Amino acid sequence: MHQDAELIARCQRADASAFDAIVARYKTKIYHYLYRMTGNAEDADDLTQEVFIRMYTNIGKFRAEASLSTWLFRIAGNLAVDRFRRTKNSRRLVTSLDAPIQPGEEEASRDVPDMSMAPEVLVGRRELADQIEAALAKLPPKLRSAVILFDVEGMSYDEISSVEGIPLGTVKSRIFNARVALRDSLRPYLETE
Amino acid sequence: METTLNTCPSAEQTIAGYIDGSLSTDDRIAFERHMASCQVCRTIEHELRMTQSLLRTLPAVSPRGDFEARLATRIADVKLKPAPWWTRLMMPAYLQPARRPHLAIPFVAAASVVASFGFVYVSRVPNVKAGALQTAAASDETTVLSELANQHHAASASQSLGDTSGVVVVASDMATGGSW
Repeated sequence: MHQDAELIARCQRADASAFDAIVARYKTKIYHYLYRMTGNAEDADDLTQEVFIRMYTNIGKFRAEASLSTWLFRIAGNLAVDRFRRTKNSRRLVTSLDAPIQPGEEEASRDVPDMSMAPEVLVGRRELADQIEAALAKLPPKLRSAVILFDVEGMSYDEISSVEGIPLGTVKSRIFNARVALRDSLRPYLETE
Repeated sequence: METTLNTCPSAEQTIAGYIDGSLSTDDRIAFERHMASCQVCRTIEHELRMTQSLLRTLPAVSPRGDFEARLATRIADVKLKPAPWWTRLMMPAYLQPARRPHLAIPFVAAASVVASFGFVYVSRVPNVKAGALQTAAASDETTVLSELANQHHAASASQSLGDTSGVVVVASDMATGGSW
């Protein structure tokens, strides 16, 4: 945190190496979050670049009221939701797994494997990851963001509250509801007690 | 058995807190006692914890290796693209576009405003002056004609009757606008 403050101060004094250091420090975290939010590498890469461009053009306005991490994730979240809204009808981002297959569409591209399969018979982690990503994509963006930040990125309730700008109770509620929805989607992959 | 939260209304916040480790020690112990006798809560807690575990199996992903180079290109494009002058005035110097801000723009805008007011003023003033000049010209012309009339009248008084070559309209006719 202290190091971030120093980097920001240097960046505000036009130290280009400080900007590079911030990019090096946060690019993977932001990309990882955006990859889980958008579900594809192309959008994640484009939006991650956009996050740092926004940071570059607004660093002069940044005040130490929030941490750099919070600020960057907030920019990333807003960009992801904005992209989601603008491409609302895009099949890539929001295609329902229950939607009918369109003519010419490869059925295998978004077909969910036999849900009766147990995790141990899945051919590999990639396939399981595909199922988890498909389940995440079905969540509303607000629930998706909350559960990704907590369970995937390892943020605390307080940090998510700052990033999302919502009360702590809402954070907990969103995470819980997201997990319940994911549980329902991924039930065949849950080990029985 | 299908487990839903409706079967145990108190479950939501407690189970979430239990899984995330945010319950107080007393609440955690109390909930563990409850779960020992509640199959529904035990199953929900297990399923949600498994769901959380699945999420954590997602593989790490990283941006492409040329991320910084592409970012530098895009930032250069942003720098070359001039921002509106009012935003540039508030921008730190080092964030100013590579091309120097076009400082003429605000001055041109200000000059345009001044010019607009000036045009309105000037376009009104000549009308007043023109009116005054016309009045002055008319006044001078009247005087000259009056003098000429007087001179001619004095000269014609010495002429013999029948000679009409010196007939002119006297000033009194001009004042009434009579035709001549």
